[in-house]
Amino acid sequence: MSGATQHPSARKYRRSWQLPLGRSALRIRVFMVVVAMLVVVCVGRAFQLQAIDAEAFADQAASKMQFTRELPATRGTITDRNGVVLAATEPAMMITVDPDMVLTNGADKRYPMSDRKKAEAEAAPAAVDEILTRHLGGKPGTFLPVFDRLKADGSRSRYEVIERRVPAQTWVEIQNDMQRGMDGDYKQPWHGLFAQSDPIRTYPNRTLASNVLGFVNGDGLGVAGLEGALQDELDGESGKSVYDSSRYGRIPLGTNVLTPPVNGVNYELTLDSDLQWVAEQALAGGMEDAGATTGMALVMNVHTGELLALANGPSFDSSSPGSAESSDLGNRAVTDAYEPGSVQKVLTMAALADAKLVTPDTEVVIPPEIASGGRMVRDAFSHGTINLTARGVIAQSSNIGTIQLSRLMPKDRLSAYLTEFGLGSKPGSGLPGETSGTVPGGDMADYTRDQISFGQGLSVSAVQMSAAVAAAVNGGVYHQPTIIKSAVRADGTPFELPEPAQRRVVSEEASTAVVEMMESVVSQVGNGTRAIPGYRTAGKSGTSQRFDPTCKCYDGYTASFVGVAPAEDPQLLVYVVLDEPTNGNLGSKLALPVVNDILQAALPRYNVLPSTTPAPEKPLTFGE
Amino acid sequence: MSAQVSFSSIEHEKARPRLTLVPQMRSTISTVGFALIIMTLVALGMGVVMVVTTSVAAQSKELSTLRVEATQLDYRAAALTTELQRTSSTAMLAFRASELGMAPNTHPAFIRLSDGAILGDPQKVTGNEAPYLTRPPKTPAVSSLGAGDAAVQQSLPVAAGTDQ
Repeated sequence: MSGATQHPSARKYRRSWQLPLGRSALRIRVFMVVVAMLVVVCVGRAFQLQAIDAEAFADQAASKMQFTRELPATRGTITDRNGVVLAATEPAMMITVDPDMVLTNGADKRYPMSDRKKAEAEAAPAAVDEILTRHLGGKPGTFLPVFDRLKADGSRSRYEVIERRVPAQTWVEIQNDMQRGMDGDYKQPWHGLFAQSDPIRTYPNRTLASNVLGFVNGDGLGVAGLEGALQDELDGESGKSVYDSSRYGRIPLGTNVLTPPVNGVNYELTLDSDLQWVAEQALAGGMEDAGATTGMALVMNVHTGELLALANGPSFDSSSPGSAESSDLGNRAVTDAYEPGSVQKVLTMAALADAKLVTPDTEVVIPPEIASGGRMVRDAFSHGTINLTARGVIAQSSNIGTIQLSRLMPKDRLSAYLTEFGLGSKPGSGLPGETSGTVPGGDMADYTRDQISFGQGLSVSAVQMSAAVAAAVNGGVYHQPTIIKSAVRADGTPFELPEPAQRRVVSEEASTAVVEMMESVVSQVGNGTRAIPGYRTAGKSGTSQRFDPTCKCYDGYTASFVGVAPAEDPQLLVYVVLDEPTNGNLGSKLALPVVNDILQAALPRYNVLPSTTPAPEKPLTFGE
Repeated sequence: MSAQVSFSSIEHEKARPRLTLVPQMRSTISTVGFALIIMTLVALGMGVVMVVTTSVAAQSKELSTLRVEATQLDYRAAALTTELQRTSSTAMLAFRASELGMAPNTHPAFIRLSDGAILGDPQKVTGNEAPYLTRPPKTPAVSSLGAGDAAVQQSLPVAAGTDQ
């Protein structure tokens, strides 16, 4: 209480200040106001953080805590028709080293090294080098120079690549040895090696069907053959794993979003790997005997157009394409067009037979030479005027006889037949780089028609020719050649492939007539040397002059032979082409043995029973 | 004064409280007991939380260990698969077959299972029937035969194909 009473004789009280805190109501009010202000500030800040700028702050927090890892997809496998794996992916690692970490054995730079740590750092480079050479190969000491590499500014390098494409199992073993450490007891592990995924594309069958399969480049992308053509489907889509992680490892109940990778589509080819191997071996043998520079061998199922074997020589190993000549890395059977030679006579006869202009017994009087386009055309064997049946024309492979018969048909009709047989347009087999070849149109010159009747003046690829001859012998239906049998997605659902086309080209009677004529080539010429034991076969040889684009002239030959078996009901077609042979040039001498070798392996393999009837002897000549 | 006193005693006599029923008092837990119960519940709850969190962390660690082990086993399986594919390739099998002394058979015969008939003409092989299958493959070299010889053997008409 202030001293209000002023007594005259009272003591003088000092005037003292007193805060008005005595009243509790006021105290409470002040306190509430302060608390209210604090709450407003807090709520305001919370509102600002959570409602106004929520995204930015959430992102900041996430970026410190959240990690995203890419999960690479496994590349699709390519198998043959029986499930034999032709191309597969093996998990592998790219091993890198942090030289600085190796030289200090992972010591924490913030603290001085203890004696024990110093001893480890001394021994680390040699130990790590020993582990690497033991698992990766090389002499001890190979990797020591890598640890001494410096950066541009003179400090120790922090990242060097040791080796790429090390199988993952080897990396696991290396890691284990690193963990074992100095005394082998896991107490003092070695540090400094890291790995990231770097899968290997393996080709377990090595050189088998390499021209068809192609190969992948250093980044694992297909660049040739089916690996290149089907790159998008084989590659799949990589996935993502988003998770929270702290210094102590993954946070158990944090974000954990997994987008699984979509693995690539798996393809099944029509190729039969065992038959492919036989074809490749036989072709290599034939090429060596003929001294040919390149060669091709195809085996086709005449009723479906499926390619059972597609061999190119010389070939290469898909896992090391760099060690082969670059011109051998392609697939000549689809990319190279050549003049087919006398094998073309089969198609000419099929067209004529279908137009009912010719039967196997049609009689043709053949002069020693015939005028065509200002020049004289002769046969490969010199003769006077001879009388051959159409069958004889094919058996003896008379160019003049073929010219005479082909002149019975209008040019545009012949051109139309050849187009129907698939010549002059891309086969669409699924293999990349197909050539369409060339077929003269209906407005061709007369001498061109003469030429194309026996296989010069037009160009075809081996696949086109096989499909065309198959159409002529299978009853007259053209089937689009195919190399891919089926495709399955990674989750097991089938992957849609386009339906192969088929169309009727010639009648059944025409086809039967053609096969009959072809059989006489094997059974009635060559005194039985052209046949194979146990089966009736039919065929046609071809020896054509080869156009050399470098000199723009004809230089060298292409020797070929097409064989179909069994002759009484053709199932398989084998077509062998040898380019630039130096040991002779006749298709019947050089290519026919290869065809027979392949047929001998293929026919029993596909359960074709041996022929029960002998090959018929039909007249090749008339008027005797 | 005495009158006041007597008045008050009469008042007192009149003001003697009547006995009325007192509303039943609600029984209350003693403060100590209440605190103990609450503390027990809290302790229990925290204990459960601790156990769950620890077990989650432990399982998470175990999970990642198992994951690592699964990956390593995957790698081993992949390495073995690759080795198997390589060993069972056609060329390798053919090589192993020839090492064992087997020979390719170019005269196959069939047994028809329905009646046991033998179709075809089985013959003994000598091992030389298919040299292209048993000899190691080589890249073909162009023969030393002069390229001109072949042309000389067949005199060709210009721009016409030859065939035999």
